[in-house]
Formats: sequence, C-alpha cells, structure tokens
Amino acid sequence: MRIDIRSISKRFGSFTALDRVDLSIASGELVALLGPSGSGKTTLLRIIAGLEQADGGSLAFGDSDVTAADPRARGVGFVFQHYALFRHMTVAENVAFGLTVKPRDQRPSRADIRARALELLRLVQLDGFAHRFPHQLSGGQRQRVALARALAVEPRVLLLDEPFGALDAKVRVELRRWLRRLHDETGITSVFVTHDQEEALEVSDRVAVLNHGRLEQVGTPEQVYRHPASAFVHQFLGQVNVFHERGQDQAGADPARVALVRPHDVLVARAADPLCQIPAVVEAIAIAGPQVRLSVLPAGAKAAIEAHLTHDQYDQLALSRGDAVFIGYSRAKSYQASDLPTTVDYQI
Amino acid sequence: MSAPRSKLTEPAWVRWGLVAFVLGWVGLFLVLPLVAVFHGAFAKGWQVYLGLFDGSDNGRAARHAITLSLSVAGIAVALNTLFGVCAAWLLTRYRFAGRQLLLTLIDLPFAVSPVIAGLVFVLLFGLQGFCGEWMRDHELPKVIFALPGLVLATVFVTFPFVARELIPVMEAVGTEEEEAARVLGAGGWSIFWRVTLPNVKWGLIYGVILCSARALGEFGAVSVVSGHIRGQTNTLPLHIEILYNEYQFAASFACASLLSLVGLATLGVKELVAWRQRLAVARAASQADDPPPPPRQA
Repeated sequence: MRIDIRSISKRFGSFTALDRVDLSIASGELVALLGPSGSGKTTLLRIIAGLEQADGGSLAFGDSDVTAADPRARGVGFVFQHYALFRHMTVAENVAFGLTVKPRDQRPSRADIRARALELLRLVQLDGFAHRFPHQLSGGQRQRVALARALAVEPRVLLLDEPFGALDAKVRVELRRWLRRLHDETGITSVFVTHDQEEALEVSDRVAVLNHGRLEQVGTPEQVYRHPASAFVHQFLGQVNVFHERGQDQAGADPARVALVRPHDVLVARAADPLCQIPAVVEAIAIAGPQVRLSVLPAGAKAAIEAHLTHDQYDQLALSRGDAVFIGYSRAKSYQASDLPTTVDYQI
Repeated sequence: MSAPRSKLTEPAWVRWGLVAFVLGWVGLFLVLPLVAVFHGAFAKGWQVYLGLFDGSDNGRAARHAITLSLSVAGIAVALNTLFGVCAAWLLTRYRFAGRQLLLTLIDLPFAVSPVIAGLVFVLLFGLQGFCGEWMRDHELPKVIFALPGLVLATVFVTFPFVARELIPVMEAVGTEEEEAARVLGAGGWSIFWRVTLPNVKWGLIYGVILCSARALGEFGAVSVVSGHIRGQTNTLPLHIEILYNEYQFAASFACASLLSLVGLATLGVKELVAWRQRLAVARAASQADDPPPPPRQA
C-alpha cells in the first residue's frame, strides 16, 4: 500500500515536532525514519498510525485520503517501542486480540482465530509459547509477539517504533536481519523509526533522515551514506573529521568552507605525496577488530583526526606512536562552515 | 536470636522497650475498645444477643437499620465506583485546563467535616433550602429525612476513595496498551473492558472495599440529613447512638458489635486482596526466572 505524506506539520505547544514534511513510500517498501531524539520521527509514525493528528497537511494510503480517519479504520499494524503487550493475556490471546475485537459479522470463528494465532506464532518462531504471559518472555521474544499481534489483522501498512531500541546489542543485530527477511517474505509496506544509523542503513530500502522536524534527505542507504545532502546527514550517518580548506594545493581555498571526511577516507603516508601533504603525529593506535584506528594530530591543530586503516595498510606503514606522518583524504564533501552541526567528532 | 548484630542496631532494652510501648498503645486504643464492644454485646449471653434482633419493636428497628445501612452503602459505593472510574480515566488520559483543580477537589471530602456536608444538603434540598420548595411543588420525592438524602450524604463523604486508589494505578499502567488495542481495531468499550479494567482490577477492588467500609460507618453527614426517624431513616450507626442515649446498653452494644464485625471483615477482605496481589506478583516473578525453551533455529 502506497503512503503519501504531504506537507505534514505538527506542533506541541511552542515546540515544532514536524515542519511540512513530504514523503512518499512505495508499496512493499521498507523505509527507515532516522534522526536524533526530538527530530519528529516518532511523531510522524504516530500520525501515519492515526494515534496523533497532524496540524496541517494530508496523508493518503493508496488512493484514499486517511488524514482524519480513525486508527481503527486505517488497517495499520503498530509495534510499540516497549511492545505494549496486554500483560494479563497469554501470548496467543495477545496475537488473537485484533481478530477477536472485529465486528461480529467479520469475525472469524473461534477455531479459525486460534489457528491463525498459532500460525503467526510459528512465523515469528514462538510456537510452544502460546500459553505464556508476556512477563515470562525475554525482550526479543516480546518484540516478536508484538510483531505477530500487529500482523494478525493483515494490516496494509506495518509501523514499528524503535523496534530494537530496548534490546541488547547481540539480539538487536539478529532481530533486525530477521525483520528484513520477514519483510522480504511478506512484502508488506513498512516504516520503522530508529536513531541508530547502522540499523537504518542495514535494514531499510530507503532512509528518511529527519532533523528538527524537517526532512533532510530521503534516499537509499548508499545515497544517504555516500552522497549526503547536508552537513547534518553527513555527520549523523557515521563518524566524520572536519578539514578546514585552508591550503593543501588548492589555490583560493575558501576559509568559510569545511570538508567532512569519514575516517576510512583519511589517507596516511610516511612521506609527503600529492594526496598526503598535511604533516601530523601519530597519537594513538587501537586495533579494533577488522580495522586499525589511528588518532593523528596534524601540526598546529587543536584536535586529532581519526583514521581507519585496514590491517594490510597498517602493516605496510609499520607505524608506532609518536611517528611523524603525512595525511590527506581520498573522498570529501565540502559545506559552508556555518551549516556544520554544533557537535563534530574530529576537527583540525 | 543468635543472628550477628551490627553495631548500628539499637541496644536490646531500646528495642524491647519500643515493642512494648507500641503493643501497649495498640492494645489500649484498638484492642481494648473492640473487646469492650463485644463484651458489652454478649454481657447477658447469646440468647439476649439474638433476642435483640427478633420480631419485637426493638428487633424490627435494628433489622431495618441494618437493611437501610446496606442499601445506602450499596447505592453510594456503586455511584462512587462509576464516578471514580470516570474521574480516574479523565485525569490520567487527558491533559486539560483545570485538571489540577479537579484533582484537588476530589480530595475535598477528606478535608471538610462530614457534618458540613450534611448541612450543605439540608441547605440545598431542605424545605427552606434553595430547591426544597420547587421540588415539593413539582411533587418530586423528598430528599432530606429520606433515603435520597442519606445516599447523597454518604456519596459526598466517600467520594475520593475509588478515584484516589485508581488514579496512581492507571497512571502507572500508562496508555500504550490502550493505543495498541485501538490500532488493532478495538472500540472504546472493548478497550475499557478487555484492556483497561483487567489492568487496574486490584486497585479498583481495593478502592471499593475502602469506600464500602467508610460508607457503612458514616455517622456525621448522615446524622444531619436523616432526621432520626426510627424504623425509617436510621442507619446502623445512628441507631446505635439512639439506643445508647435511651440507656439500652445491651442493644446498643449488640448493634455496635455487628458494625465492628463488618469493619473486621472488610480488613480481612482487604488483606486477602493484598495477599492475592502479592501472590500474583511473586508467581509472575518465579515463572519469569524459569529459563524459557530455546527458540527454534530458522
């Protein structure tokens, strides 16, 4: 089911949660709403679900306008951040709830409802848990029950609010891969909210980056990571170093502009070459699993630059702490310095 | 007791002294009066005690007082339960202007003397009151010196109990489950009966118990609006006072013992509810400790 969000705005008192957001989600797509806390991503999700009413703009599912529709009539499945399972009902009763509250003439028979609940529990790999209560399950299991409950009513749209936020790191990684597979199997149009850029990049077809209630960029994970539309997106989707364009070999460099460079795009050399011309000193070396993280302090700079090398590169350079090196970068994107978010990771 | 004593523990004489003081105090002010009530009631033996509720004039009046008290309390508790649920819902689910004022107003009956509550209703509905004459002209049922007045006074006095018990429980439960139910297609009634009510069940029962105990025992407000018509508007507490003033001590204590029994029973039920609640929580905790079977590999 295609979702069209047109110029949606929402204010809470004097706080602007959403400022004229436009976003179209294609049928069968899995889209991540990514942003820091307070960026309006959860508000947008709740407006799509009908749990919140927009102050302005319109919302359509397919060809029908649902801006003012009751949440009951929208046909959405919603997975809450803290699951919101019915605590006094068993797992099976939770999953069946949406079917048991249907009007009498649309309600399947008791046997059918039960069969459907068990089928969904199989889908989320929780068969055998039907008679447990939510408090008897782990976080990851509760999350899957919440998902099964949302899917039971065969929603046209599946909405997930920080679906992995409350889980520990290992379960989170497993569950998000599993969610991606589930989406590929069911093909249901899905939107999920996250503040974790890695999660958004790994799971979604497209990422919508929000900041201060505005949509900064919408694109595939590759587009938003490699071709960020703004300094905010660049910085939010991973670590960045800030290089002031004050020289190297570019004549007429603009002091009001800065270049943002990801740590894996920083080049390090023993001797100055056309690409690496900034003298620096190796301050720290950390072997962090698959990569080697260098902290290098350019001459005259206030803060160190972070460079990520492969083990091969590191071995070739044979670096140790205190060594003098030359640095540069292979890929950068320049922005007006005034557009820079206030917090930056590394800066010369 | 050979448990190692930390240096922070008070010396033995302080501890035993405190225990003796508290037990003595409780005995003097709680147990002794209770014993005295039952002693007074049974002073002349079982036969006399039962005879006080027989078919004589006195017995009929006593039985009427019991029935009246139960009806008044029943109606008042039902009304206050309805109100308490509505108020708790309103106060925990919506933010509106005057919300804090409403929260404070609910507590008003705790702060105001019940006698004043009774007087207010006399002022409103008495023959010389604001609505009294109008109501008589329109042949509406009498309020003061009749059942409606007794109910009104009792409702006023027991007003806060259910709402006060429910508000913190509903606040703690939150709204997410209700939102989940709504998105799943449940209507308002379904959400209330199937999601909200089961979650606040124990808080509600607790509030109803406290409300009932207070409603049955109410004296001051009811005394003002009752008119003390024997066999008609005398509730059990009023009846006890009348008997006592007429020097019918045995009868007075017999009725008092009944009321005390109801009070003790309420305490018992209250404890039972609290115990069942603790048991449910403990069972939940112990079950949660069982390692669940490992999930099937995909």
